[in-house]
Amino acid sequence: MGKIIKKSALGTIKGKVGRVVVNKWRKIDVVKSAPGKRTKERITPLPDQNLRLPLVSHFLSIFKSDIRIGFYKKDGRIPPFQAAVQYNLQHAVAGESPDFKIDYSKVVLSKGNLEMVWSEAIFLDENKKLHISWEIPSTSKLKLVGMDTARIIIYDHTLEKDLTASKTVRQDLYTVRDLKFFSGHTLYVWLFFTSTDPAAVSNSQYLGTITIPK
Amino acid sequence: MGKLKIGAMGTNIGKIGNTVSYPLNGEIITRMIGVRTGSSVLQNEVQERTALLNEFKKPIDEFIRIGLKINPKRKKGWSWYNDFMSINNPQAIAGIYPDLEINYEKIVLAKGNIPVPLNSKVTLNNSILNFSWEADLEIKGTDEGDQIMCIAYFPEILQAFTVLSGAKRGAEEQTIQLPSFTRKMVIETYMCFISDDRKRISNSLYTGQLIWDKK
Repeated sequence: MGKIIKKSALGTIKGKVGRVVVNKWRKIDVVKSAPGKRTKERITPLPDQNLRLPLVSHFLSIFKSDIRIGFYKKDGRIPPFQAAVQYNLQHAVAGESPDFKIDYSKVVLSKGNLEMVWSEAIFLDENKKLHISWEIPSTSKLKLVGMDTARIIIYDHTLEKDLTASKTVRQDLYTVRDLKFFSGHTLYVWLFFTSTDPAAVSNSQYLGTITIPK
Repeated sequence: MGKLKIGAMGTNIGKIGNTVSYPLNGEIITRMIGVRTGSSVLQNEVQERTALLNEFKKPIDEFIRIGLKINPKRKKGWSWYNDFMSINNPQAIAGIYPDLEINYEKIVLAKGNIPVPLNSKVTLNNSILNFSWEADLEIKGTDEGDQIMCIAYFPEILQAFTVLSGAKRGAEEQTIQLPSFTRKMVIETYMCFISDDRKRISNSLYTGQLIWDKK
């Protein structure tokens, strides 16, 4: 595998040229030899792994910016996104082949040692505003954990999109998000905390699901 | 296995060529890298036990660090982690492989010379955990300045509330306010005494399992 250090006169090339493939890998331009022809026959029907992996990686790709923080490890043996796929492939897939589904209550978007979310609750009021609240236990030190950033992740099942809520800090204990433009949609909500750097993260917590009335 | 006090590779730690150097019981050991040809059932069991205890101790690291750092009988060169594993593995593990689980009653989190709290009791009342004990200041080794350290551990979610410097011995009471849980919770509780100068500690005491249920 070769690296491209200087850009060519034609700018950046991408794709197959003769027997080599030019591509981008972790922000580096690389050249690889083209893969050989497939010798094994395709298995029909598709094995379970070929159904499960795209399901999980497509779903998690919506939350890429959160996963980059939530699954970041300093030793970096596995990149954050791959670590997230590895965990959720094992734990968050429900159903029998070939009808695999994501079990939203078991999806994990961050893993870490920071103090977790306690007594989380969500409810929707008449004005279609989503209220999200949590608590800080009496034993934790407010000076240490009070300014932690709360990352609220709202997944719109209908649009297949991440409606990231405004960021708040842990000691606010409360936040509101206006959802009047999403009437009729089904939403899933997760929450996790990060330190201000954000070097430390807590485990993510599934807060529940809500369908907004029309 | 070659052994030198400063290590055959100097103070290097890690893999060099086909040798590996690492600290073991206060010395730096250098040895050849072995070849693994699968693992036996007994080896798998040891791995499983270590994994269980590692997962258990994560939320209460700070407590164990204090509790076992001043253990007067700790072996030379051992860290608090070595001591914790040595004491609790395998005595605090119940069941037969592969169905292993932690026996919360037998877990030891602190070791020392101060006598353990007498007639200790934990009660749960309206989301308030109440740890109580008897002062017993006549017994040798006790002091008015001793402070309580206590833990409320939630085994299902692997989280814990710890109080590292609680009430004085004479107060005979320490409370922990629980957050308003939304579902049934199992709580394992432990407590021990620590001296005012943080140089002496009592053995840790398992004070029982409580169940929080919405009423």
